[in-house]
Amino acid sequence: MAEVAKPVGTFQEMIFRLEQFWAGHGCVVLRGYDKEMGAGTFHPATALYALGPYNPWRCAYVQPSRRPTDGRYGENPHRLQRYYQFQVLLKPAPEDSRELYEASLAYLGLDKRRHDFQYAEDDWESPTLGATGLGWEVRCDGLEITQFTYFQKMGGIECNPPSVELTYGLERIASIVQERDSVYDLAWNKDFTYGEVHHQVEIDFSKYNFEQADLEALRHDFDQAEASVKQMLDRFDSAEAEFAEVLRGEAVLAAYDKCLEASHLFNLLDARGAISPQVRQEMILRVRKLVTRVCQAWKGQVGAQDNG
Amino acid sequence: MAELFVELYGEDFPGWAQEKGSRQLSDLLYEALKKRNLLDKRADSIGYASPRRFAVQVEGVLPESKAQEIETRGPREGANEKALEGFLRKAGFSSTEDQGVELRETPKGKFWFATKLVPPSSAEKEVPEAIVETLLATRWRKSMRWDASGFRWPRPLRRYTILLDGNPLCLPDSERLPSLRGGTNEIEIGEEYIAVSSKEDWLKILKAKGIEPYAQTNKRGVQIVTESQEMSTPRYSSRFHIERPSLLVIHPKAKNLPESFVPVILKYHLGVYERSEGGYYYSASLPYGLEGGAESEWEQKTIKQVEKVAQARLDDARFYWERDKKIGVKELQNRLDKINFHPKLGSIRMRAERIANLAKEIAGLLGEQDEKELEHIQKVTLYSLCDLASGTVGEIPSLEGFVGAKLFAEEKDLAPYENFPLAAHLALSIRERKFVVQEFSISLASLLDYLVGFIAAGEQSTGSTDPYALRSKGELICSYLIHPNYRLTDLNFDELMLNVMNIYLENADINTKNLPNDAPDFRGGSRKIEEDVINFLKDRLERYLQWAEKIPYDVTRAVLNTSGNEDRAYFVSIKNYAVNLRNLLYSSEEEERQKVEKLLVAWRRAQGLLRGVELKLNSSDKVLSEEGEKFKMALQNAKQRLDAKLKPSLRVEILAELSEPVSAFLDAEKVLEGTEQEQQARLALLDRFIQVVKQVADLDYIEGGDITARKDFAYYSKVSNSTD
Repeated sequence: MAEVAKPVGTFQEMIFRLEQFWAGHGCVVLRGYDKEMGAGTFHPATALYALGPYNPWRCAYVQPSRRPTDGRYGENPHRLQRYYQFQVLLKPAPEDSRELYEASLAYLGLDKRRHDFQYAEDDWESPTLGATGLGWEVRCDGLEITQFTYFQKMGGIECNPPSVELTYGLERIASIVQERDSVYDLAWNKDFTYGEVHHQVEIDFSKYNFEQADLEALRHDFDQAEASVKQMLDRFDSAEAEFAEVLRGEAVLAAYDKCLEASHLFNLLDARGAISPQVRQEMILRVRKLVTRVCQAWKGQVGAQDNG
Repeated sequence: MAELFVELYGEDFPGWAQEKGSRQLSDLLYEALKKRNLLDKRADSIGYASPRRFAVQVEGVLPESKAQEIETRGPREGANEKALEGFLRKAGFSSTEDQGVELRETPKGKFWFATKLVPPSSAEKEVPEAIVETLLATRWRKSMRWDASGFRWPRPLRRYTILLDGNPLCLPDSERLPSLRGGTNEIEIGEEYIAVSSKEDWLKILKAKGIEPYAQTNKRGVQIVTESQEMSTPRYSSRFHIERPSLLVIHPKAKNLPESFVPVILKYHLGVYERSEGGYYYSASLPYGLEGGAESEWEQKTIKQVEKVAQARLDDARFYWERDKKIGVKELQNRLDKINFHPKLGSIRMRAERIANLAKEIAGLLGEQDEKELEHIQKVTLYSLCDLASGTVGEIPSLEGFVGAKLFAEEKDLAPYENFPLAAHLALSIRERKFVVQEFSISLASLLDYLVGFIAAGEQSTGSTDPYALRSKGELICSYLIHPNYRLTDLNFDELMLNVMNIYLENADINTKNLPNDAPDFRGGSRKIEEDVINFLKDRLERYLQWAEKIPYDVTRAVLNTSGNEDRAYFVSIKNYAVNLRNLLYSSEEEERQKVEKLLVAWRRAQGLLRGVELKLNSSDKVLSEEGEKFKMALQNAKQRLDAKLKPSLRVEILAELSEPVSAFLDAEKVLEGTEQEQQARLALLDRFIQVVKQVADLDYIEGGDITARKDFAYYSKVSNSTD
């Protein structure tokens, strides 16, 4: 095991260290994507780049993630509707993926020899992304701190070669390293706590997500987002033959952005309890269909460059 | 002869893969070595598993394979050239002129034959090839790729250790295998590499490190680990998930949350087991490298941490529970209308109504006569199903049934139902608990509705496809019906099924309302559906008894398929017959064995003699010899006792008692000699013998040959739990 560093003292320092660690292992260090999304996996650097164009491709970034249904009005110490994921994609999956991951925790000062550290079977699936993977949720003292996944499919397309995706739950890891019982008590830096920076966000958005969001407007926006993806992809498909070289790239990524919008709108509708389980399934399928089309278009566009 | 020991080390393998994996690796490696003529007659293999490693030990590996001739038959003389070329290429030849290729006369005409001489080869060369073949032949219910080789396993495989009498071997390069480290005599434990010399050494090292691998039964049928009691313990279960489990006890506190929810929530999120003395067992992973005395300090710290996590989970559940209470049962029930159960079977609401009616019927069949109680069962079922639309169940699916029951109890002010943990529509295993008529009725109603519905809708499992898991549902029903704790000796399954079908008929408007035209017509085809369901369940019973009670399926089939025996409508009775028949057929007592063999030989001879013969009515038995008379008396005696409704164990004993007289009769008499009258008398006696035996079992279903020669004889002969 790699040498265990002195425990990282603040939340922001933890992010710096992870960026530094993964940059040292060949990752392109990116910023979070500027769209609302439920998980770091939705970032195009993961969702689309797992399919191509580059092989090898390694990236790392912090992705602010929004899951409206997880809001608890700032009352639950481990549950937030908006939180930070540190996302790493390693393609192809290195033989020492696991050792690397554990070394990154040691670099934060998390000594697995002092904790109950478990890899619990967890076959990951993102129904809206049409993505599947096999792996584990990594638990430290019963708390899930990371999702460790070998991607098998994205947008319904087989990932070749498979990538490793690591999704660190930053707040949870910080609460272990800083030995705090609540995420709100975490030191963000030496002057501010996580609560001081974000607690109001949780209260306001829980109210909005569960009580106030305008259902009609959300439905309308969802339909709009869906229609515009379809339009763009139809345009892309019909133009592809004639103007493929001109339109490729821009259209696919823009269409993907619309998928992200649709996905977030769906999450909001879900949080408001505005959709029945049956409709819920239908909407998931609608988003998945869009993502699948985008992934197919993306693969078609970049496939030739991919060595995988 | 050498010992071969193989360890395959990887990233945490799922619990479900370990038992199956250790068995299939052991079997496949054994077969791969056998195919190479590398095994001694008494060779044996045994598989082991832990979360991070599989291992196989093979005893009796020969130093080199024996030379052998492998003959293959090719196409017929005059077959087209391509077929002949393909055959030759596959057999390792290039032309029909090659030595070893010949055209040979057979009763079916002239065929090409190719005979290849395989020279002896050393174990050092053959063993690695056999291991590659083994790895490539493994099959898993779920597997993944992790590199460009395309090789699939449940989780990545990283290194191997192969020892032939302690000497390490290397695997040959193969594009179809992933990149693997290995080729030395070391194994990886924690962050250490430790030299190992044999399986015994390996077990010792693992034990010293606190690892207790699961050991599979070996080929000779010796159960290495007999854990029938231990299997239900948290320690046994946790070792499939953690290499060094340490069982801790946590005591989280549930505030403003129904008590019945707490163990379910904690099991769902943390995999804990409730303790009868209070608190919960939590399986922690003991880190390597903890030094003396540090363990207890580590345990105390871990308990504190895990309790905090558990507390947060309970608080989270309370958040949803309070929201659900505000929404109320009525609104949740309305939402059920919008949840589709199956396109041909309607909404969940429709299913709820069917289950509620059926549960009431089953409770009645089980002896519940209080009309008020029966109505409660019906209502609680209907109400409890509303929780499928609740936020609490959306967040913690394992609470399905519990939330609805609690809402029902609160709304109707029915305290006894407050902790009514309905297994109902989820078909949770209720076998762990004592029999409660309400729970049992609802759970069975749910399972039967599911099974009948899907079979009627044409979704029956076929071959390897079983998308709705009907087989496991069927086996669950079997397990309910025969569970010893329930003592359901009086539950007539045929009668129960009749009631199930009646429920469907009475609810015909529920079943057909708003359904497509191709929805099953329970009115027109109910008899057919009933037959299909019963046949399906009997088939599942054979399988269930095989794995759960260690009864060979042909034994169960023999007792199941006896027409005219009313007691076969009781699953408990079928199981008891099957257990006792297995004990008789697989007895390890020499005297018993001889009886069984004589009985089976006599049965087969009798069936052979009776085949195609027309028995005349009123044939006189006055012409029987002395042996014939003795046999006749034995049959009369057996018949009288069998008609006396004895316990299955005694009835099976009667079969064994018949073996002597029937054998003596067949030895003494030439059945088909003498006058026609004499022949008819003897044949009539044999026919009576068949009918008497069939009151217990139809031995035609017992697979042919000597039972002691069966490869699983030793395995089954070790189980001898008599039951009635």
